[in-house]
Amino acid sequence: MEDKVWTLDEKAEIIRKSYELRDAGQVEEARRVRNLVPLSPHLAKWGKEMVGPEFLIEAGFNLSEAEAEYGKDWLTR
Amino acid sequence: MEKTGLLDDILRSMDDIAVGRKKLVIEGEAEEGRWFLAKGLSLALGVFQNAGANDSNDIETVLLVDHAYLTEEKRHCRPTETGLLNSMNVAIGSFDDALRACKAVQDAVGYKVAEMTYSRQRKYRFRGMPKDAFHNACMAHRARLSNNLSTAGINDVERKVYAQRLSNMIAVQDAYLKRQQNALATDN
Repeated sequence: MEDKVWTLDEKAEIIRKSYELRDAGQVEEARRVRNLVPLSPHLAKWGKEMVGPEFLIEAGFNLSEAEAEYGKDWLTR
Repeated sequence: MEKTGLLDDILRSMDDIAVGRKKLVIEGEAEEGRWFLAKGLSLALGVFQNAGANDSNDIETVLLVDHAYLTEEKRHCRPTETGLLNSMNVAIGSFDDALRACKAVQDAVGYKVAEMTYSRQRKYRFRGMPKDAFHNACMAHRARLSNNLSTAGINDVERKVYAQRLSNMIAVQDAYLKRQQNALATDN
């Protein structure tokens, strides 16, 4: 199944929801919801290079846009 | 807050700020754009505040958080802003050097040898310790952040972010000094 392609408005809606949760004190749930939105590829690349691939995986980021940009095996290269 | 919580939140904040920037230039969505910019910046401020609230022993995390922020700031420089781009490149490179120095100072034996290569003249020392890549990075970044603080037109949250980053740099420089002192203690 192909990864979903997110529009700006779809991302914004989820991000807004995550801030509502954060403002209500539900930080972990806010992070979980926020992680539904793909992390921008250049930020994912920073995370991989400066902290390590495990960091990105453990943080639960959606890496679909990074995979589309850098290739499916980009994390292990 | 754990290291990974800080680092992943700083990435989220920058992504959210980017959404704000995009919406800012879409007709009819500027207000929403400003909302995302403000929220992203507030999240970033929280990260910097939490990073500074630690006992500063996690020097690497404080550096990484600022490294991420600098890298993202650089992306938003216009190609014609060559002076600013150069400054950003120097800052990011110096942070890479500072992270290397953090590793070096953990090796007491190796660092004692490295210390002998530094002149004992005051200008090459920071409170008696080698003024190495870490100190150089911190002092340059402190000057940069101080300059940013005196820039006209920045909003209150931006000002708080710069101020917190400056405070964090001062704290980690003191923490690094202690690491140097520990590494160079004669009974190590």
